[in-house]
Amino acid sequence: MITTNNLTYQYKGGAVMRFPNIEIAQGAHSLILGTSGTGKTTLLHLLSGMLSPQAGSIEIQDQDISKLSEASLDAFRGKNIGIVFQVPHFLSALTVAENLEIAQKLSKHPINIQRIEEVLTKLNLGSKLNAYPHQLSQGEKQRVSIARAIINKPAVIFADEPTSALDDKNCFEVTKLLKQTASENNATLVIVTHDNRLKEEFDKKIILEEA
Amino acid sequence: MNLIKLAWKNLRSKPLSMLLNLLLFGLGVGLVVFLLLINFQVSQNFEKNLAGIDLVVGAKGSPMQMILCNMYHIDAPTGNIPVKDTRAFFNPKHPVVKEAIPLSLGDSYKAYRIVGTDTTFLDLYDAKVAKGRIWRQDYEVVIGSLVADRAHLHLGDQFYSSHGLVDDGINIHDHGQKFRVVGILEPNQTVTDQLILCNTPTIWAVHDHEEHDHEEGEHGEGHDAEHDDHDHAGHDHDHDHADAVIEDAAAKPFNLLDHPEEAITSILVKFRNRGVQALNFPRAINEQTDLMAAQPSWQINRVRDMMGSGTDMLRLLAAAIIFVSAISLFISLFSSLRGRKYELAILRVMGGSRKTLFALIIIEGLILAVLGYLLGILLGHLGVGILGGELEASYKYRFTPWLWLKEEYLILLVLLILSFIASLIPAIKASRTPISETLSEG
Repeated sequence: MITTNNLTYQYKGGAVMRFPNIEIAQGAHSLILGTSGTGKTTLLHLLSGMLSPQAGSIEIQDQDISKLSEASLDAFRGKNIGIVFQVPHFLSALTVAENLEIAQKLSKHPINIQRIEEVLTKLNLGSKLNAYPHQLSQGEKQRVSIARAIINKPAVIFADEPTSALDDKNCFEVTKLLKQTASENNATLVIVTHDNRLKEEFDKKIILEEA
Repeated sequence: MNLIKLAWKNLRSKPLSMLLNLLLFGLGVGLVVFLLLINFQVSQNFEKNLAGIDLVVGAKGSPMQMILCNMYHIDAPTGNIPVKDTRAFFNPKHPVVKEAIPLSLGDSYKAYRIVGTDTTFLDLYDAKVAKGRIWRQDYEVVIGSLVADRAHLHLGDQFYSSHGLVDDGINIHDHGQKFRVVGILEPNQTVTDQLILCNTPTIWAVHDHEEHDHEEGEHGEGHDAEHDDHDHAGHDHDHDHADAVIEDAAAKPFNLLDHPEEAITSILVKFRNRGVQALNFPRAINEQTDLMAAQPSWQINRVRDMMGSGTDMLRLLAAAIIFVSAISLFISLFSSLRGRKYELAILRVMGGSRKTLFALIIIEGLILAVLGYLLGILLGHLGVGILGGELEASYKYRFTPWLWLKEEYLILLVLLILSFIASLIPAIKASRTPISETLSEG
């Protein structure tokens, strides 16, 4: 369950961005659409607690995260939120499996190798357990970042332009995987994108317009 | 997968940068440890060999040279002194002198010095016979453990001495009589380890073949006996102590003062007390006699001061290297941040806090410090092990790398503090990585 109310954010020296009130039910899959400059990424960062709003509230899992301290936000994010970025970044010194281990560790979950293997196998990465990030293809990297997002069974999965760098085949595959894994984990899925290919894939759409 | 493992893997993913930092730390620490080990052992050598000697009396010359020669056996003698001038020191009723031990130098075997003295010399250094027995007759020698090891001498071995204190291979007394090893001392980390000891008449005998002959009448029996006695003495090995005492008692005991026309190199003197009389004693000797008296503790402090300025320079160099290591650590951590700002931001996204990032960088710095320290300890001790041989050749003192000084813990502490400080700014910068800004850059 995600609810926002009168959310505003202002970058230093920038105009005030006002976001429409959002209400997304637990387990729903929704799309936040908008052209560039409409504050899509800003909204996603606000929702995931990477930015704090100047005004308004954000409730996730009945917790108003706009009231949390930075350290509490880090902990909350680790526990409840999985994020897939447009360009996946990993800890380059660690293998795929170790990248997932550290995700478990940092969110204070017990290290569970079985879960890691299970998730990677589901995402067809079973053979990449001990590969290093630089050895992966673009599509594989995106799948590993999905694996990382869901490894802790978060309540919410946010994806920021997860498909814009991918070709059609990979685009639909990634979308399918995101929806599938979100469903399997009963997680709310929110994809922020300007990728029109995804429009048909989702019933619930939130359109951001230029301020 | 915890932070320490992550830090280690991060370091390992940049092996060259890690190697540079380790080498710098290792070099600095290694140099410090090397100096500490050598310095400690040299000091220990000086201390142990002071052996409660209050005064050395010898021929006039350089007092320091006399001390180095007669106590540490690393310099040439200042000359000889006639026995007749030394009478006062051997007076048992002397108000200042409690004990006086005569030394006669001049010969060596494979660069190990042969010292003619009396058996009280062994008590001075608390030296104990490990194998065989103490000398009883001329040309019988008791050798230090280092001599036995390095010159490959065993009980019963015989050898000619060379004239002089260095082994130049020419001045060998290959006529006359051979020395015979009758005893080997336990190692005790004093100068006795490196000496070949015999009685005083032996040294005279080696040097004055002619005089020796006409002297024979005076301290004769002993000499005569000894000349023919070698085989007999060989059997002595297994005789028990009681026999030896009887035999010694039978011979007329040697008394240095019976030979006023002979010369010795020096006298090691112990005082009865350190009263005013003792305080003035050396000056009285220096001013009123042809002899020179020098106090070991003073001279040794002078030597240390002189050596100190040399080691101070090396210490400064070591400190500079360690300081540069810290700067290098700072630079490599700091410059690594730019390349991994995404990784740092990702750590936050995954639930890590600012503290996590701070700790990660600090841990990386500390790991480098600890590994550099271990490398340095290894290098320092290895250096003593390797260069110890060279040093032994010139000082005849065995330097061991198998020694742990408590200062070595202190180095670790200093290094940890230093690398913590060096990592502080990079760690703070890392902890301030703006996640949203960084990740929206794509």
